[in-house]
Amino acid sequence: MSENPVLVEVKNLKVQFDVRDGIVRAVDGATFEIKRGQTMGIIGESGCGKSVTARAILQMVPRPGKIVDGEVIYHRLIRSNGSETIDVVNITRLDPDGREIRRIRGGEIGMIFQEPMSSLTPVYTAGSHIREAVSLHRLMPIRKVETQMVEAIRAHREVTKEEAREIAIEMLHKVGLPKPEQRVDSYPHQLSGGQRQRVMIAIALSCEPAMLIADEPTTALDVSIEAQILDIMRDLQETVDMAIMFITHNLGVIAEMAEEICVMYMGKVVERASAVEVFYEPKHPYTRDLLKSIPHVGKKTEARLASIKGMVPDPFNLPSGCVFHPRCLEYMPGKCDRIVPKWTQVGENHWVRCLLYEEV
Amino acid sequence: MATNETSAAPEAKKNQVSQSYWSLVWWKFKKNRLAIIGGIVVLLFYVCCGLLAEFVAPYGVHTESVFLEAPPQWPRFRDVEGKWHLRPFVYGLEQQIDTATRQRSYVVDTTRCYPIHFFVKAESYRLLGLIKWDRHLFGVHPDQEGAHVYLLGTDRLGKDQLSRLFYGGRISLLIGLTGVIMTLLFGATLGAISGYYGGAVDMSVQRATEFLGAFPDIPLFMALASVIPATVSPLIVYFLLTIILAFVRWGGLARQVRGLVLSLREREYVLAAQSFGASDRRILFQHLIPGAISHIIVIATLAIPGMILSETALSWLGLGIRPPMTSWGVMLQEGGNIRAIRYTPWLLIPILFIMFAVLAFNMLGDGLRDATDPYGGQ
Repeated sequence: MSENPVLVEVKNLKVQFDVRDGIVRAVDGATFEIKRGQTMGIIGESGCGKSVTARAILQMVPRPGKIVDGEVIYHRLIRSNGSETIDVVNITRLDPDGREIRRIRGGEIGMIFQEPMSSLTPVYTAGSHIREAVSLHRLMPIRKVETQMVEAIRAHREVTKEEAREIAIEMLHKVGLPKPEQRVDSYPHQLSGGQRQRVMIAIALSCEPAMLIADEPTTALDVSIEAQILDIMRDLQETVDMAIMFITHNLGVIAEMAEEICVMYMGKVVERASAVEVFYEPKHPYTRDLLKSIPHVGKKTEARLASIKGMVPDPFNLPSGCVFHPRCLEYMPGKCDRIVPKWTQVGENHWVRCLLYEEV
Repeated sequence: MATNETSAAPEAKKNQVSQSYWSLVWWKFKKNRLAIIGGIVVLLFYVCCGLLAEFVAPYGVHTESVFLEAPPQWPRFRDVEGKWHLRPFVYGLEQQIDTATRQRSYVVDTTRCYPIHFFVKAESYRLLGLIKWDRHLFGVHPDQEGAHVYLLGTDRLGKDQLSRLFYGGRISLLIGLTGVIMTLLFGATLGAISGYYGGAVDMSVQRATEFLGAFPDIPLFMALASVIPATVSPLIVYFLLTIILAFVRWGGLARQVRGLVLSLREREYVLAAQSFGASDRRILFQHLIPGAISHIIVIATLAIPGMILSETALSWLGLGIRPPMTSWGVMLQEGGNIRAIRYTPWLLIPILFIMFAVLAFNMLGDGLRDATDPYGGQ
């Protein structure tokens, strides 16, 4: 999978929130890339900047946040007349309310959220949500399925109401919602949490995006529904060759879903490697601590479940040097509290931000 | 939210499609007797005054008679000899002028008896401005010489007060409706924009509403109304007045809509809509305003009586609708002096109409307010 072309590159992304008590660096130099068709997992504690990173990719940073530095580069694939060209779009330069970014949102990069309970507008039916997304983005070619070329599609008419409804039913069927012909007319309050999340996925996928950002999509759901939703996402990913950026704090889920993992701590990506390496050869002390804190079923032990000592630092008073040093088990006095670690390569495709792997 | 699943379960089981929001609202509204009465009265007012005033009123709005300031005639079923009649009738009035004081008075002339007929032929008119017709809901028989029926008396020019109330209600009630619609356009749009964008936009809109709110109503009305030239046609006066009312009153609505939008815009579904590429305008008008629409309807219904009262107050002050156009305010102006209260108290009957209309609107609005929250309450 590693030879897949790059889809989205995030380079040194910095997002700051200028609030009354000071500046919060919610994302502080995040760098990673997501390849076509690949699943990238992002893990970290609450408040470490996972969701803000995701929203920055779509230029949807909540007020008063601002992208102060860095770039998000999106490689748009344009297929026309059998040849493929890549159009490079710098998302951070786009007007956050402009037409271009709105074309990307939903049309090319879809997003689903943590709270399926509140992600659907209560006054619209499931179907009308999907229809809205479809009518915003999908244009109908004169039916020749194999030539769904972006150019050709753009040249053609918009979908009619009936077609949009059919697409909606088809999408609901794809995400495994029972009786989609009836459910398409259901209002959000008539659907359960799992059903709503399926509807959200259907909306996000209805325009066949190149990437899906899933921001803790299963956090609010129970475990059996979670498993179903993850299955659906994986199945659909295979059929439409879509990249997924999967954000979670659930290590079990990420192990199951992701091929590559970024570990974030206090707005910084502290480690990036393939899923296998993160789980079997974690380099950063924070990653190791995180893995230690997973309870193991069936392993009988008298010891208490390990937790990371200390508290998440105050975002207004970040520790000097490496931000993790006050909680780190391998803290090197005089070094870690003075020197900011650099992004270092420790293996093939394995990067870490820790002074243990730097010559200082 | 989830209570719906249980409350609508029996029907929902059958066809799997449960009740929509508006059918739940109607279901709850129906159970509120006071609101239903209010609704019916409001509807009656609008049909009788707004649509069919020409038909319902026995006389034309400008039809003058020799009976100046005549008191109301009571419809009777029993005559002075104690005989019962199936058809109601009124006794004729005899005008007398006291030569010493020049005071006009009326005595009931029991020798003349005018039965009231329904669907009588009288002055011709155009129903809804289109259909030419000459039937009236009730009246005295046209063949009877000198017959007259003034159930609520006449005014200083001898015009039938009941007829004028119907015609006047048309103006007063419609000004409430059109005024509120314009308030909605101003207030809901500005309020929603203010709440959604926040920052400098919010600041300026809110300061504008505060300024308007802090400005004393009546002087502001007077200042604005004095801009209306005296020579323009009454219809233009009417429209300008509506605009003035809406201009002064949009602040409250804008505030409420802003508050709603402020809370709604933080919901995840706004983020979700944004994430699938909806523009700001689309989010505002397709996702946020529909969420607030039930509140807006309630606010509007409760704002109509305020509009009616404002029109009445303005016209009473002589700043609003001017004669020959008739509104309840204009009628009150004629009856609003000591002489009238002393000698012709029936000229104050418009107050009853205004009170009924305002009460009915408030009852309807209260009912709607409860009903638009079908999941809350009992």
